Amino acid sequence: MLEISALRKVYEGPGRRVEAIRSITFDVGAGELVCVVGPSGCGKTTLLRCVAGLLPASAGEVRVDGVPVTGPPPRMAVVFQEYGRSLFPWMTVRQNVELPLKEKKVPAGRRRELVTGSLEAVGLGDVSDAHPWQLSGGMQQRVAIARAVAYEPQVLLMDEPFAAVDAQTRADLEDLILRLWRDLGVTTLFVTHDIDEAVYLGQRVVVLSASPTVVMEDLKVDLPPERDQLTTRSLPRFGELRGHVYRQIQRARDQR
Amino acid sequence: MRRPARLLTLLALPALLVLAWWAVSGGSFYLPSPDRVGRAFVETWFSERLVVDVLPSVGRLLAGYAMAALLGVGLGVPIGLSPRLRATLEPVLEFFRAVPPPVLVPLIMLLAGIDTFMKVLVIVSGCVWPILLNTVEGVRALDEVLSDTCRMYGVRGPSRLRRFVLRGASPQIMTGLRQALSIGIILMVISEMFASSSGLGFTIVLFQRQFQITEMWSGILLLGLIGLGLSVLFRRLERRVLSWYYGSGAARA
Amino acid sequence: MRRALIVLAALLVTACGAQPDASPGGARDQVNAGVIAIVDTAPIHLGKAKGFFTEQNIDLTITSVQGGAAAITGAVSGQFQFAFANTTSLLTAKQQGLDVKVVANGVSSTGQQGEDFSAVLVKPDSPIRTAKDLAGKKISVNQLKNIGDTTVRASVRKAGGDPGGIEFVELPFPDAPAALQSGRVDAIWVVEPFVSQALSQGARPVAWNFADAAPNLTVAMYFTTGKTDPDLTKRFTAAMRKSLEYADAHPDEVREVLKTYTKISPEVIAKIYLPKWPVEVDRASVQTIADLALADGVLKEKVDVSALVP
Repeated sequence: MLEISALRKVYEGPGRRVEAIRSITFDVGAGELVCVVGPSGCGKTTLLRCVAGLLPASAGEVRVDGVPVTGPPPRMAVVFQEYGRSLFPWMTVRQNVELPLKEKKVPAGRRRELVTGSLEAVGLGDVSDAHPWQLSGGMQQRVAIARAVAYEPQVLLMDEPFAAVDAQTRADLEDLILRLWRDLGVTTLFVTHDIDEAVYLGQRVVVLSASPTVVMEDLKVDLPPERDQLTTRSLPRFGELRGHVYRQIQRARDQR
Repeated sequence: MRRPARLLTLLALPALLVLAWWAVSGGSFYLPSPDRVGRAFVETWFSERLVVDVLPSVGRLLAGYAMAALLGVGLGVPIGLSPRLRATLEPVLEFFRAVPPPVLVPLIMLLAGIDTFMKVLVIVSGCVWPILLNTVEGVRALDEVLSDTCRMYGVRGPSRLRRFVLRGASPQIMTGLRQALSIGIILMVISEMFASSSGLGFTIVLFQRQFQITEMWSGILLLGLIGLGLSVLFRRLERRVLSWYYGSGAARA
Repeated sequence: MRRALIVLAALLVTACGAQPDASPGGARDQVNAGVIAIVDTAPIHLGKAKGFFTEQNIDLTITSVQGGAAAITGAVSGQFQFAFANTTSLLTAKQQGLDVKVVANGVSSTGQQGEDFSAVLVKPDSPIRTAKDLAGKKISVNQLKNIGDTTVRASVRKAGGDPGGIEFVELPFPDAPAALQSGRVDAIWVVEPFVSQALSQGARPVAWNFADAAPNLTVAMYFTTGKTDPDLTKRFTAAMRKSLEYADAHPDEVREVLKTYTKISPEVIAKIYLPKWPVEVDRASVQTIADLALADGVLKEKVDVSALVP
């Protein structure tokens, strides 16, 4: 579904030339949940923005369902890290979730279904008439997720979505994502700096090197598909996997 | 029980000022007492002057203000959205905004004659600047994350303009509109100081020249009341348009 | 040229010496006079240059004001001990209860058609031929409800027309010739040097309104307020009378002094019609203006001219 081939990004500034990404190549199959981790400053966000079509690549290609990405593709949704800034403050929760559907010209009846459904799915059915600033951080991110889900996207991108929430909320939101992914089967690319989270969520973990970035390892997570915060994280295999990823990232940091 | 208390606090200071005025006045020819001004107010303005002078003046003010708003927002949005346009135009705009409108009046008279159009143009020439520059600022400062969100979800073109750009910049635009309102009232008077034969501002100046000081003060009082009225109306509008902004506490932050 | 330089030097010296004078021979009174920088006020400038005021122990400073209203306001507030304003402004001020008193004549009309310092002009191709045709037209004056519109109405009446439908528009004198040329107004009322300016642009005079309003019209006067010391007033009046007499008799020197306090170019100064400066106020003409103003609604009630003019 999502093919990233030899993606390269160089930032040209006055007198400075920064090669953020040298060459990244990996695929995400239809319905897969792949996590991307790497050391700080390794261009995770740059990668995501290139995939989303928000940033033009210097070289290489991104294809969604075979179609090259030149701008934001029509059936792709993004959940940003800064949830507060990604919601429209002058709209209610319901209006926020509904907006992309209006742009897509979805008929009113179907819209109502999707919005109500997705708000229920994230557990916000009773605050649909509130404004974003009346909600907590975790709830705001849920609204963003509901909006992405209601959009019925082909590909879902998440850019460190839980970096700015507290640990408790993070755990809830991680499980929420797993549940939604399982129910909807959306192809998901999840970028994070949290190694534990990457291993917990992903079917695969792509480990990036330090800048200029390449793919260090494309790791298959052979944990049981039923994930649970308590049990899965205490599995010995979990510890091995996260340790392995951790060492890779250490190596990447030292290589710089 | 809250309503009367509110009314009291609202009127307390003005009442105090009027009392102070009473105490100070009476001696000088140029400062008549409040009761004389009050009487002159009723005699002067509740007459045909209302229709012949006051209403046309206020009409011109509103016309000029509306034109300035359309122009200011209409130009401010594209300028704010384009960094290149901004860089090119900013120095030129700052230059023109620095020229006081009264200085431009003879020039405007040459271009637009001496009638209604000229007066409206004078008002526009002063009101457009705060609206334009605040719009540019408001559009420039739109949130990037929100902008990316719009791009991702296909919010483009007129939809993006309406739902994102204008709404997002509306706090700043309202600030500009508020500033322009007070400027507009001043310019309404100034536009009538040149080549006029009627109007509220003109009549006040005529009273001054004819040494009808009490009537002049009554005119100033009327001007102040009109300004107050417009300001109250504006604040009502602002509260409705920006209810989300006040609620979010962004205004306080 | 030498005369101009002498006059210039004298004026500069007197202008610089605005501090209290500690000269021997008795204290000189510091007097500030509010005066419009126009042709009409040449006598006071000339008189100062000639030393007529110093003779009377007056150290005169002439302050430029924009118009009669500013002059009257300045006098009432105490900024000016003496000032210059037109007849209608003074009558209006008196009616509003301001304590103004005329001390000397200011400037008068020549009374001669075709050779006065004030006129109503139209475009060369205008259908307006005489003052009668001005009825119902748009005429510019420098100040509404003042001596301009009053005397223009008098001209129209005298020519047999009805002044009731005239639309007077307020336009500063300098802007009037251009407005006439561009057709924004049908006729303009201006005083020198704008009369000559308009004439040189091809405009045609249709009325000499000051001459029409009254024979020997007293257009403006020098005045003071009741607060001024009577002895000082007497001395100022004496110096003023001498200045007026001198100016009326020496038009060449008047044209020279104009170069020093106005921005009119020398070529124009040579051509303009000078007003007359009789020493005495023509009381009858002041009464005429008062009556005309009353009829026009500029004054609310009859004014006793003798309360204003000594």
